[in-house]
Amino acid sequence: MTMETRLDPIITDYLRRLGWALAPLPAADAEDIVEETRSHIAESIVRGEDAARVLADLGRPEAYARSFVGEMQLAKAVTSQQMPNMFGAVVARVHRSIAAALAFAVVALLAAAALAMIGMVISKLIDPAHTGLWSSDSQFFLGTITHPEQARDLLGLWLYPAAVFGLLLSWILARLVLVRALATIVRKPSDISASP
Amino acid sequence: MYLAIQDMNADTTSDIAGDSHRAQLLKGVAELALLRLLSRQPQYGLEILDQLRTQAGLQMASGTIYPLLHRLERAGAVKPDWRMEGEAARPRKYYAITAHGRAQLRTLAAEWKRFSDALNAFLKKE
Repeated sequence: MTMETRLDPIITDYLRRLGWALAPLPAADAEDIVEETRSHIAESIVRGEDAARVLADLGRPEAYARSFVGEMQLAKAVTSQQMPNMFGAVVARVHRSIAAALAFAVVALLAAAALAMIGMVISKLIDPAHTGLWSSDSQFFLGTITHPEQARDLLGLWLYPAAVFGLLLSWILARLVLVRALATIVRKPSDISASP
Repeated sequence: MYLAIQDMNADTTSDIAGDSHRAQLLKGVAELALLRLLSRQPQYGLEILDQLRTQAGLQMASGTIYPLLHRLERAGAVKPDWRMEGEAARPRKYYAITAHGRAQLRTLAAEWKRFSDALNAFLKKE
């Protein structure tokens, strides 16, 4: 039969776990990687290397798979420049990349600001008399007040275009931050060392 | 403990300036050496690891070289080809450099030369 029957159970187990962990990739890609890994392991063993050491050099199957999957998601995010892809790639790295964590914080803030602006627009539609950018003697207030006669509305109907402008600006800024963060992340370290 | 091991294997260990620059340099070097190796003739993974070790002095884990090959493949710098060879028990995945890969090799080699010339000059300076 094939080499398969002679492979150690720890190897078949490794390859099975690798296959599972590669599930986010297109099936043909995942299969190709598993086949190449199988070929690598089998050939290393034929050369007289110890199976456990060969597997250790590859790393745990989940971690090994992650370097393929992560790379692909990142490449997809960078080439597509689609907000959901970019945001997903950043979120996946929040816990191990400062650039991703910062980008996430900024985008979250921008999203909160955008939500607040949408809230203002809805509020203005429902209750135009009490909603606006209010100015009194000493302060500004953006929102709904109970006594509109005590303050001046600086925006009036301009609130709508201002909100649209604000939303656009948040969107553009968020995009910019994500693109910059991904550009930083793409230049990622890989674990090699020069031999003495 | 499990977490620590996972973190060590994580693709982006840190983006902190110094670390990332050194790692970035090593990453570029690995890519440069790999493309140079493949520009001579198509090779398969295990052979690539061996030759980078013996010829370029680069000690890379197999867990690093395959993802790198995969990335270069998707970037169109290398082209894979599964071959069944006489003495081998199973097919091997050979990688050949593409025209795009050659262009990238030239760019990386020029960058490396600029970098090493400048650093050598700096190191020799009294």
